[in-house]
Amino acid sequence: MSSEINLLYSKKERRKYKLSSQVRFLRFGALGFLFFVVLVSMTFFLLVVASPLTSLKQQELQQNQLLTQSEEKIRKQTLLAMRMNDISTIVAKRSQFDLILQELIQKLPSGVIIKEFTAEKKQIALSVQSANSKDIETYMGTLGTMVTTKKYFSRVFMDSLNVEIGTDKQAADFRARFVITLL
Amino acid sequence: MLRDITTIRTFEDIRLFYFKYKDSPEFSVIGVALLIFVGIVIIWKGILPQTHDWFSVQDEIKATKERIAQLQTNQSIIGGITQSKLDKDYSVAATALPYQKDYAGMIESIDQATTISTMERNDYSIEVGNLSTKSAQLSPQTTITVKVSLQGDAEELQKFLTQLTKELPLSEVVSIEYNDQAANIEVNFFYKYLSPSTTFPYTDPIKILSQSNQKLLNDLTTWRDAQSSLGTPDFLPSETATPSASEI
Repeated sequence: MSSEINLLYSKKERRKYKLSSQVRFLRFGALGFLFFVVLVSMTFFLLVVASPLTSLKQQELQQNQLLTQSEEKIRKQTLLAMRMNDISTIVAKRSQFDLILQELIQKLPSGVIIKEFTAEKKQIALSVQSANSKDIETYMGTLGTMVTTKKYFSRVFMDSLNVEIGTDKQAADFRARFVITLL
Repeated sequence: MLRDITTIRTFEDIRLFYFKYKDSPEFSVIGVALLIFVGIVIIWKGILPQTHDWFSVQDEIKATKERIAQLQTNQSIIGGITQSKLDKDYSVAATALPYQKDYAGMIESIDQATTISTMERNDYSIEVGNLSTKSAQLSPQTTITVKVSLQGDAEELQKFLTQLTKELPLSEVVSIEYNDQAANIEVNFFYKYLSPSTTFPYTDPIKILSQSNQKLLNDLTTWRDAQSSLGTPDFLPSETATPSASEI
């Protein structure tokens, strides 16, 4: 009879099969590890399932539905804000020839009139006429002061000064042309 | 043991193999290895994706809370705006910067500026530009040029220029040629199409007017009211066309 048929262990086999404490420790360790892994997995599953996301989504949907009733108002307000931004840029950047001409007129000495005013981009050509050369000189000084104040002008120079002789062979009219560079 | 494994053929062989080796240290070691393997598989296939899910859910919760807060803010902002004031402000802004070329508005502006400045108006021309709506919308040009010839002195010219800055639609004088009572003025009138890509998501913060823009809007309203009080010239339609909300 073969010894392998007998399922009862002999003393020798019993010693052989007696589990060492390390193996037993390993077995419990492995079981503990598996238990821990399953526990962690279940915890995460429960955390995900029990999160308030669903209720928050519901709340978001309700808020969206509330705002849908004001859709027209939102569109208009958004467009108004966008348009006002564009408008403020236009107003800030557009030319100020009206204010410049106003300043030039206000500073004119009496007896001096503007004969020519040409403005384009950053340059202005201005011709003034007077019967008195002193007035032209005063105005030239005023323009010089306007450059130093740096409000509108960065540079002014006199392009020409024409003197018209009257019938009495005396200087009748003075006409000065200034070229002004804007800031 | 290995030799026995190779002889396994039937279920009965497996049972025999189990009873023979179930108490052996090798069997225990294999069992332990199997448990650890299963544990690692659970970590890899279960816990790691769940951890990722959990963090994703936390991010989504945070984003949803922020969106809800924004929606509530938008709701309170929009609730504080009265419909009639919004309609009026919108109409003023759309008149100041129209959504399309506003010929009637341009003619009215020049007409009123001329009247107020007491200048004498000669003929004037308007450079119409592209008429095809689709290509015009793609065009970067947002101005339409008007060339005006006027008669008057420098003070009247200055009044005309000042008045024109207060007329709607908004314009900019780009060139002036004034010589001995005769003025040729080139004026650019502004307009801007509404971009087809403009969207109005509720979750975006509702744009409110800054203090400077509110002040500018008040100025525009004053200018428009003054413009309206002067009346529309007989040759123009009584109302200037601005797009309605449905057209937007």
